[in-house]
Amino acid sequence: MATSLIRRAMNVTSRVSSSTVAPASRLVLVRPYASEAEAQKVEPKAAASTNMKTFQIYRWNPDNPAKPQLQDYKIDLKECGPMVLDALIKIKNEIDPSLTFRRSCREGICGSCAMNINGCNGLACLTKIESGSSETTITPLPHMFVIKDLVVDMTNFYNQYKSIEPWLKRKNPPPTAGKEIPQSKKDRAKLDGMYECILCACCSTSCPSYWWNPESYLGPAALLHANRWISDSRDEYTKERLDAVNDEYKLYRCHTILNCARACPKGLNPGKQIQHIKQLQLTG
Amino acid sequence: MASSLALKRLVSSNILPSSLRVVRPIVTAPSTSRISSTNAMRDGNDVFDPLSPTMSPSQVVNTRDQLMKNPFFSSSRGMATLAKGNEGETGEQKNILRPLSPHLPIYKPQLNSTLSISNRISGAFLTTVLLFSYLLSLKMGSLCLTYSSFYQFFFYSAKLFLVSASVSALAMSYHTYYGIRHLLMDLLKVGVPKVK
Repeated sequence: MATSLIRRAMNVTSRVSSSTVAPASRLVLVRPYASEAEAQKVEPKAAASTNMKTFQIYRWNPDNPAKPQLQDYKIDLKECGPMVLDALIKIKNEIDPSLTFRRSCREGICGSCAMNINGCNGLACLTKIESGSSETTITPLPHMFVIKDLVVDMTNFYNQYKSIEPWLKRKNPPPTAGKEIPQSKKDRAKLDGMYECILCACCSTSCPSYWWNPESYLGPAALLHANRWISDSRDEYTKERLDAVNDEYKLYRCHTILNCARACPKGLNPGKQIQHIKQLQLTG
Repeated sequence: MASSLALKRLVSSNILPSSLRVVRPIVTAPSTSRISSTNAMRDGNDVFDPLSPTMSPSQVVNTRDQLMKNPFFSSSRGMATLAKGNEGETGEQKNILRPLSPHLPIYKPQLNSTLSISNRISGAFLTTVLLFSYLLSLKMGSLCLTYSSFYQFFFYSAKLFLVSASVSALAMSYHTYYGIRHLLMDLLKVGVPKVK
């Protein structure tokens, strides 16, 4: 407050003194903060050097079908955001507009930008670009049919999710008609670690078992959701859900390789949920 | 159409293992003969023949979804990428085989996956060693008497038996430890690796 008073006093005096005084003379006045003129000054670039990084990106065009290739792009990391998605968008804007990839929220909640970065599945919007001069290799989600460049066909994945019937099923009406079905905090806590799944398919496409049996094995994502509905205390079809999954191929292709837990960008553990289902099958 | 689709899915999912799925080469649709029929349901030698399943359930679903979107698209063999042909020629389609994204060569090996695959490899190795040594010990005499080169080979490689014995011992112990860990993980939730 004192500074604003002083500022107003100085403004009055300087205005009164002369309007022809050059703006530079104002800067001589003692001020603890920058004036408007100072703030408008743009600093020269911090360094003239650039930090180039090479991205090797999987390309395949259905309009000119040939063997898929890895194409190199060089990006200056000093003019790019920290995440891989920022680099992809920069490449698409400035270098090659034909690069095709899915993206939406850029904050790790929609699951569109799932792809394989440097050998590990993850969301492009959450994966930081590795510093250092090594190349970053970006390929689509493993063992999926490629529609174009980094876009894969997710139909099978979504159908498997549909097949476990991911909705509440009850035999009896709710205890208080017309009101919500009550659930204790403890029961609600059982769903933690499962409801956060965004169906990005990073886990299922990291599982070698899912690679070799994509249509018969449900995959970690669908089984995680199956467990979510099995563990829901409000759902009354638990036994039927367990029987539906209790199949040599649908559930027991899981050999606890646990690549899924390592790949999940939300930090979930589908392997643990699958083990839970297997235990429930044992105990009936 | 729905019933033939259902029958096809039934047939292909139960009977046909995935290894027999036939890979179709790139096919370019002929310009006039297939476009004239606007009805997507054609019988005969088309894909929806339930007696010769050529599409796996996901491909059937893929095709069905695309057919539902546009009934003028012709059905295709193999994977149904229905890319439009040249501009201006309505209805000309190319049937293109979609590539599979790279998996084994590019995926980074991790501790958990390496341990798991070593378990499988050691199991397969032990199986072959067991069967092979059993057969060999039974038939060694008659083999060596009939094939002299065999006898030479075994004579000179006799020292290697100790090496192979220790390798099998390593495989046996690893397989046993992993098996016990698997049991503990499944039944008692002991030793599950932490996430990240």
